[in-house]
This record gives sequence, C-alpha cells and structure tokens, in this order.
Amino acid sequence: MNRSKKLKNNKSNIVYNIVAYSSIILFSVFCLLPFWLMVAGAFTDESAIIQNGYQLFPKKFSLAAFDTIFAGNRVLNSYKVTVLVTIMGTTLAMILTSMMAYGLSLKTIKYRNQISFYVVFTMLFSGGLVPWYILITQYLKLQDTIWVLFVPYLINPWYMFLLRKFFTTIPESLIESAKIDGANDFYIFVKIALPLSLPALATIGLFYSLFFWNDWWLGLLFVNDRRLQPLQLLLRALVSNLSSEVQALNPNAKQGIIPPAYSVRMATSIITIGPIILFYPFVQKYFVKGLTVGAVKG
Amino acid sequence: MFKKLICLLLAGIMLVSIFTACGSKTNDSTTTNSTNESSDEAKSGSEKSGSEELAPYEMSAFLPGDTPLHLDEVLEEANKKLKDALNVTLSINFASWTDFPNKAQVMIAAGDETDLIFDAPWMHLPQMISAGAYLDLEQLLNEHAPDLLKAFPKLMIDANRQNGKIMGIPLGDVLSSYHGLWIRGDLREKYGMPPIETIEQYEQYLMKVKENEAGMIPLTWLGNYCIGPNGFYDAGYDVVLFGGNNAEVDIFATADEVEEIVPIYENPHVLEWINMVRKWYLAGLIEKDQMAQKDETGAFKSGKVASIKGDYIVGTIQNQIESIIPGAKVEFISFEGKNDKHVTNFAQWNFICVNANAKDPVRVVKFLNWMYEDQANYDLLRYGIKDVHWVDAGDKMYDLPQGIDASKNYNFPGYTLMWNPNFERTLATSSEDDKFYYKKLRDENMLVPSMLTGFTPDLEPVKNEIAKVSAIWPSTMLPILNGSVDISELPKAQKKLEDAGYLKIVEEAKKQVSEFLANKK
Repeated sequence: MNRSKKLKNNKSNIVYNIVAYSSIILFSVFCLLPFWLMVAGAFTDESAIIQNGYQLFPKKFSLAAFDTIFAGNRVLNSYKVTVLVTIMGTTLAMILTSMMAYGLSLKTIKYRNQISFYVVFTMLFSGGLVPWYILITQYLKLQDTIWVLFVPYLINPWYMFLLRKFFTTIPESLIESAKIDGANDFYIFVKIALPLSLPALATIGLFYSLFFWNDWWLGLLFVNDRRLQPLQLLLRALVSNLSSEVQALNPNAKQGIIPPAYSVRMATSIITIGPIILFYPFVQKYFVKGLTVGAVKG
Repeated sequence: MFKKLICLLLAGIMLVSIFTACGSKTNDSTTTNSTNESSDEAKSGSEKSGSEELAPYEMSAFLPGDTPLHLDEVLEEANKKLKDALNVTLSINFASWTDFPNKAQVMIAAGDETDLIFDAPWMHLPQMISAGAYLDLEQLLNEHAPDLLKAFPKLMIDANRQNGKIMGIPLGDVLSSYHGLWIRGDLREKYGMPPIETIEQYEQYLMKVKENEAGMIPLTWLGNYCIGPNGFYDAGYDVVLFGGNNAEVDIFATADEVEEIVPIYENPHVLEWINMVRKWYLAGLIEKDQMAQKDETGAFKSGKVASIKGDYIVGTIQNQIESIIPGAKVEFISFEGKNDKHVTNFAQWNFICVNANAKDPVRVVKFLNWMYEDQANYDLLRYGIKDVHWVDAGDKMYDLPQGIDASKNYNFPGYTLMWNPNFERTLATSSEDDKFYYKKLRDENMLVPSMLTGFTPDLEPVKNEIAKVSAIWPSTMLPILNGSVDISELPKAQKKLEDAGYLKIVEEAKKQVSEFLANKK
C-alpha cells in the first residue's frame, strides 16, 4: 500500500518533471537562439549574410568583422579606458552614494528632509543639457580627461533613495546599542550598516557598473581625445559609419571588399557583453534579494 | 498656513526657472554677439601685424564620420606645412553621423570655440544660421581667400548662398547631381539588347527580366518615396520639390523658363508618369510590396531585383555584387542623352562653416584658402601622404600603392571638409563610365544653369500645412504615384490633400518663385 502510493507519487512526479523541464528547456532555447544567431552572424561572411540573411550556422566562415573592429588598436585601447572607468566609477559611486544615503536615513540629522528635497528637486528639474555642458567644459574644465567619464554620474539620486530606504530598515535600537558601546557614526556605518545591506549594495553596484560600462554619452559630449574614447562610443561610431559607408562611395573599398556592416553589428555586441556577463554570476545570489529592495513600504 | 507658503514658494521657484530657461537663450545670443565683436577686433589686430609675424594658432575642426585611420600621421605632415605657411596647428575631431548633429548643436549653444564645423541644409544649417552660429564669409573670402575663390566655380558658390549670404563653403566633387537607375548589364547582354537610352528600351528590359528570370523582381525602390523625379519625368529639367518629399509641389525649370506651377495632380509630367507606372505595376514589372521595401540596395546586391534607383557612380557596388553573383555587371542608365548638356541648379548638400565664436576667423579662412593654394596641399589632407597612402596616376587620377590593404588605408571623408570639383582626383581603376560621368559633371561647359539656380525654398510660412499634408501623403498620393493604386482614385486623394491645406503650399511656391524670378531680372 505504502509502496504503491510512493509509485503513484513518482509517476506524477515524472510527469511534472517532464513538463517542467521541457518548458524550461524550450524557454532557454528561446533565450539562447537569438544569442547564438548573434555569435553565428559575427563569424559569417558578409556576402553570405546579404544573400541568405542571418543563419544558425555560418555558410562561409569569416573573421572580417573582428578584423575591421580591431583595425588600428583602437578597440583595445578603448577597452582599457572603459574597464578603468567602470572600476573607478563604480567604486567611487558606491562610496559616495552609500555615505549620502546612510546620512539621510538617520533621524538624528537635522536637515535631512531639506537635503532630500534638494536632491529630488534637482532630479526632477535639472538645468538642461547646455548649462550642464557649460558647467563641465568651462567651469570644471573636465573635458578630455578620464575624470569626465564618470565624475558627472557619481551620485544617481534614484539609487541613493533606494539605498536610503534600505538603511532605514535597519532597527534603530541596533544603532543605538552600538553607540552606547562607544562606536562613532562612521564605525557604525562601516561595521553595521554596510554589512547588513549587502544585497542592496550588490544590486546597486551592479546597476552602477552596467551604467558605466554602457555609457557613451559622456564620451560623446566631452571627449575629443581619441585615446580616451570609451568602448561603447567607439563601437557605436563604428557601426554607424559602416552602415553609411556601405551606401556611400568609398573609393578605398573599390577592390572588391564589402564593408562587413551586418556582421560587425553582431561582433560588436559580442565584444561589449564580455566582462559584464562574467560579472553577473558573482552578484547573482544577492541579486534576487536585491530585487525586492524598497518593495515593502513601511 | 505654513504648507500654503511652501506651495507658493515652490510655484515661484518653478516660474523663475522657466523664465531663466527662456532668458538663457537670449543671453546666449548676446554673448555670441559680443564674442563676434571681440573676434572682429582680433581680426583687425592680426591684420595690422601683417602676415609675416603670425602668432601660433591651434585650429580645430569638428566633422561627422569615423576618424580615418592614419589621421595622426597625415596631420603631423600637414601641420609641418601649415606651421610654415600660417603658423597653424590643425586638429580634427569626428563624431559618428548619428551623434554629430546633437553634439554640434550642444557645442554651438554652449559657445564652443571650435573653428570649423560641418553642417548641411538637411541637418540643421538653416536653424544654426538663424541662431547666429556661423560667420558670413563673403568679405573674409574676398579679402583672404583668392585661391579658394579661384578653385570654386562662381556658380557653385553663388547657387549655394543661404539667404543671399555665403554661410559655408559648398563641398562637392561634382557640380551637379544626376539621376538615373541601375540595371544588370549582364542580363541586358544576355537578352541581346543594346545599351539602354530611352524609357521604351528600359521597359523592354524589365519585360525581358519578367519573362526570363523566374523569381526575380524587375524593378523596385525605397518604399516611402516616389521614384518619378529620379530620372523619369525630370529628364531635361531641373525639378525642385517644393515642400519636401511628402508634400511636394514639383516645379519644372529649364535654362530659360519655369513652367507654370500647378498642384501635383494636375502636373502633365507627373500624370504621364502615373499612367506609365500603373501600367508597369499591373504588368508585374514592379515589386508587389514596393511600398514596404526598406533595403532595395541589399535586394539588388543579392540578385533578387534587376533594377533599382542608382547613382551615376557605380563604384563599389560593382565589386560587391560580383563577389556575390559571379559575372554580374551593374550599369548606370539615364534617359537624358549621355552627351547632352545637363540642366541643373548647382545645389550642393554639404557645407563647411566657420564658427561665429572662432577666435581668429581670418586665420581660419586663410587655412581654407591654403587647401586650394596648391594641389599638393589638397592631396595631402584628402588622400594622405604621397607614395605612402596614394600614388599619382596622372591626368587628375590617383591609385592605391601596390600591396596596400584598402580597408586599412588612409581615407578622408572629403565631403565633410574640402571636396572641390577642380581639385578632386578620380580613382584610376574606376570604370570608363564612372570616369565619363565624373568628367562630365565637373565640366561647367557640359552643364546648363536652370532658371531656378540659387533658389532655396523657404518652408517656414507653410510649415503647418506641410506637416498635415505629409501625414496623409503616404496613404493618399504616394500609392498613386507608385502605381499600386489606380488613377481613378486621384480625385479622392486630391480632395484629402486640399482639405489638409495642400493648395496653400502651391500658392507659397508660386509666390516665392515669382519673387525669385523678379529679383533675378
């Protein structure tokens, strides 16, 4: 009796497993297929793409797209710039944002509401593009330095409020007892508040690093020095110019070369996702918890 | 009470911020004015000191496109020459085509001092001019740029004035645009047909393709657009599309007259075209889904289509198509006689402008002049270092040095800084046809200025009508113009266009043209 029940259970389990696994497999195929198309497209010969469109397996294998991208060492150099900007930017942004958020979360700070209001107000009503450009180029004179690629984005008010919300969930009694034991505010911040907020910090750190990694806008506006061009800007320019080059009359392309416009688009995607895709698994365990940051109001 | 006060305060702040936002614009223009004056002073100052003792000057240009490979080497070489000639160090910055317009706009609004900026009527030249972003070059050119004025045919400069002023140097490797079609030469030869010169022959070619090539579309073109004024009903005329592509009033001009301006649905040339294109459509010579076509060049290259709208320079397409379809040949055809004189308005599409905030406009103009002082100067910036990036092939031609990988060579986008019909070289390996058209369109004697040379439509007064008409154009007029809807639908379309204010655009066109012609005399 007992045994048959177990069997039945097993049977329904098997059905459940089959359904669950097959739907998950199907779903992951849906996710992986476009990704694979991208990889395959990057390695396909341009004329094959023009003739047959993107295909799952390259009919004519070619590295021309990567050849075009890496011509002239510019991509490697930009890679270094972007990695540096992402690391420095994320670190500094995390330090500044969490310090400000923690400060604003403390009830003992007298003007915290006024400061919050100031942050919200400037977040909603900013001076606009041109005054900002003038501030950075003519007053701060940051253009054509590595600093300009991350300093303007060091505090994102949105993330700051997200973190503040998280810090307010730390019980006040905990902070008080630490104080009684003789800890100062900075010690409490570093030893108590930060460790307790790891999920939020990981999430926001990931957001920041993605943000710095993907940014081309600052580079476009403020960087003329070609050695300081961030990766995304360079690749963006590359794709945009190649597409117009296909149409335009490029006499140098006269020797029977087809500018690999289609495959370059795919190849640039592969290049840009590189490090960031490696970063995901490390923060993933915090990520799920971090997603609910600020979801519970109270 | 306290809350109310705060609300009031907030509202006040917002109001103030709105006013300051508006005010900052007027401030901007005054600052540009004042810098204008100061640059004028600088100008007179440098003139007094004479050309022998020029202070060093860092000149910068901002252009669209990709930074050419090896630009630094070439600039280093050019700067040696520029240092001796003008004591100038030149640097050139590029932003991609997608980003260039925005960045240029921000830079100009913020009072950036970059000396040379690319602009074009299809980008934001008119707006920038009315914002006072660029200098009027007339006087500067007359005083400091004799070689430049010699290099550019007078008609080319005069036809490209903006509101009567020279707001930028028009850049073009030829003096006129030229419309036509591409066909597959190998197919034409297969059918034993002579080179195509008339519309009848072209129709025959399309029919032959339909009969012989299963699965091949004889003719298609970009969906949102009518191909008629691209070589069909404009042969022998200079046609101005007043109101832009989707609200157009077609004005037909020749060397000695401008035909009466009528709405598009009464225009005899257009009606003739509509009848013909409908016939072709019903006969299956035009792609059924032409209106949805987005990439006709791609379709042509992959051999799915036998004819598309094409440029007079076949150039790269020939090699591209050959590497996909062995033996394929691209031919440019035009229904204007090959050796007939071409009627044109000498319009150019790209301009290099001098920033109104440039510190030393005189030196900037002198630099522009320097490029045309000597063919060698032009060659250096345009083609790179001689015998390294290019070799002289004689007779105003150039070639790539032996064993150079073209895709890794120096290749400056000339149309953004210097293109000039008298200085531009032709690639020695170009096809005979390409060479022929380059020569023809660079030769003033092969071109006839139309009555409308120098006429620039001012669309500001009918802006609203154009917006309304172009919103309904794709669903009313365009299908008729492209043959997918019968001409019997024309009255309905006419009614809708008239309701949207199309006749106002016609009236404005008439008014502006008659004013232009009156001033001309």
